[in-house]
Amino acid sequence: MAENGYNPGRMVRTEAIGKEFIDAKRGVIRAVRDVTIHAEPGRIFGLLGVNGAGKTTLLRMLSTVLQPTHGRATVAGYDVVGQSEQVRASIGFLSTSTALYGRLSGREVLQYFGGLYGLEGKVLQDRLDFVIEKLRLQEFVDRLCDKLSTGQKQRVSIARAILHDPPVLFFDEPTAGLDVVTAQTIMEFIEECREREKTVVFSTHIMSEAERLCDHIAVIHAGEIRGEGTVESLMNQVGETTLERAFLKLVDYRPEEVV
Amino acid sequence: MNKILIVFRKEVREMFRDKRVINGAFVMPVFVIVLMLFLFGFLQDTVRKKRPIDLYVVSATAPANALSEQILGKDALIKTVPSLDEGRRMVRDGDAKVVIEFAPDFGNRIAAGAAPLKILFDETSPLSQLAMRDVVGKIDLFNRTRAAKTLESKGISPAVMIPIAPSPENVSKPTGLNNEFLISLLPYLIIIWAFYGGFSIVSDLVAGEKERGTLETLLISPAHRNEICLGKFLALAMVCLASSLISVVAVFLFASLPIPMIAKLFPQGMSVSLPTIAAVIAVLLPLVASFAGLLLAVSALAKNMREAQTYLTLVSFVVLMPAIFSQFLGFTDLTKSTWVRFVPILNTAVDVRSALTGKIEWGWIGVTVAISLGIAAVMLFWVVRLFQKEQILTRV
Repeated sequence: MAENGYNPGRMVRTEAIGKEFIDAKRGVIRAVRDVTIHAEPGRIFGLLGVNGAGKTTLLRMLSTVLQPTHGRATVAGYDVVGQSEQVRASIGFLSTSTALYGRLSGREVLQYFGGLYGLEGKVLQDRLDFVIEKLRLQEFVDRLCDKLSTGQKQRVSIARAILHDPPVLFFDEPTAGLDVVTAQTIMEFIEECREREKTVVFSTHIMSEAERLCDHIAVIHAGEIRGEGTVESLMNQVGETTLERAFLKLVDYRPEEVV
Repeated sequence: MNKILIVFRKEVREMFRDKRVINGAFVMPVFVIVLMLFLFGFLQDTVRKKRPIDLYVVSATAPANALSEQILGKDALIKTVPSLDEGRRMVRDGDAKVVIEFAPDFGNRIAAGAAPLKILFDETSPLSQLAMRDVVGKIDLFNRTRAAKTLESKGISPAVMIPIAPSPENVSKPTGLNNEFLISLLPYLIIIWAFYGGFSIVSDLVAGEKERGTLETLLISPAHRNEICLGKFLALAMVCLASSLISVVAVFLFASLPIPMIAKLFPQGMSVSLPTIAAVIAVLLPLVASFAGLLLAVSALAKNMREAQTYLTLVSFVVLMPAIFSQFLGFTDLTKSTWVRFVPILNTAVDVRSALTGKIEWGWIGVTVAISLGIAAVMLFWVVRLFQKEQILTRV
């Protein structure tokens, strides 16, 4: 580890990263514009933005499923373009849209991804035992995923995301559409990741979640960072007393636009 | 463990838990072949059991019953119709298969020769055509018998009437598959199920994963996209191959059942030589690979399962056309045409057909394998390229 707890091998860094899509009808769409962020171990970095702000595109670039049009990014010390396989081996990814295989049991899903993450034999078995115990999956881990409740599925998804004990975790609106109890489980899990010195990047559009979880927030709107800092510093930057009002000001919200 | 193998094993495990795959790829081929053989056996049985057909004779000019029976046979069920026009109506409406009108004073005109006899039939009705040929055959027999008697009465041998006495001899190789119906059917079934076996699951493999949200999780794993693609490709190819072979195995199992109708269908039983099996497998494997590549590419191109099903239906016509055409090869001389050997799918059908009749042409099999492998390579390259693109995930 480097001085001041700075560990580039566990960090997420982007430098003026951007992504453009070409749409037949709309032409060039700039989904992410020159975004520079630093996320560190033991801290939760929040990406706060409305739907379509560019949060998912940014996380997809960091998880290497999309390639940046410009700029560069490193995750856990690996370049997202040149060392994409090492990046993917170092991350866990969870969102509400990531589903499970309905015709496999929870255990089979975990074994499948364990294999893809290079775990096998006793190491795989030990990790399986650990996540099953940790997330209290014993009761339903051998049932087909199609037969599980939403909350049970989400717990299996969490187990899948941490099975290989990654140093970096990405959460893309992981509580969207979930009931309050399941959402609470996920938030507690994210907090535990911070305690375990993981680097966490958490995207959300829910202010209360951002306030509760994030040590550092980047407000993203129309693909660009509009403001960055702790909850307090964001409010101070725009002279507001709540995160919600600060957010609305940062994204240039005007009530008449809605009307 | 190799990641390709991990993906392959997972896909196979999921497929075998999917009722659509079990029914579409394994139950249907068996069901279809059993149904077709039963129907064919039933039809063959029906045709063999010849039943006398009602023969309608126009009453106004009908000769004496004795003469009618002499001409049309004693077992003929002779009925009468009042007029030729009524006879025409009955044949057109399907109320009579054939109607016969003897010329006036028919009995006396026979002696002079070429006594007119009109036969009404419907060319669009196979049964009417059969009845017409039956009547013509009976009249031909009457003519020859009558002519032979006339010649004999004049001291001339009836043999002069038949200057040539043909004597056909079957010299085909004893292959165990001397049933033309089966030889036409098997190449078709082998090809069709090699395609439709995978048809039932392929939309699930990529488009389905995209729709359900599991593809992103998979792409975020350290497995290389080529490994994911190849694992899926191999699983799909295995189902295509199994589905195709199961239809052939079903034929042989069905033929071994102790059922009288089957014994009539395969009087010499059924057996194929090892070289025949080797030839069929040799042309089938690259064909299956090309089908699996094509199917997977379509699934990867589609936004969702519904779009995948639409594309697959269109693509299936490309496969169906040569496959259907292959059934009629036996009625043409095309198996000897060189160009057929270069038409994908059709060349496989010709090779399978030739192998089943005991004519294994390894040179042409090599050409077919090379062409199918070429197509498989192009398809695989295409689908791997599709997996490399971001659109595999973002095109929703």
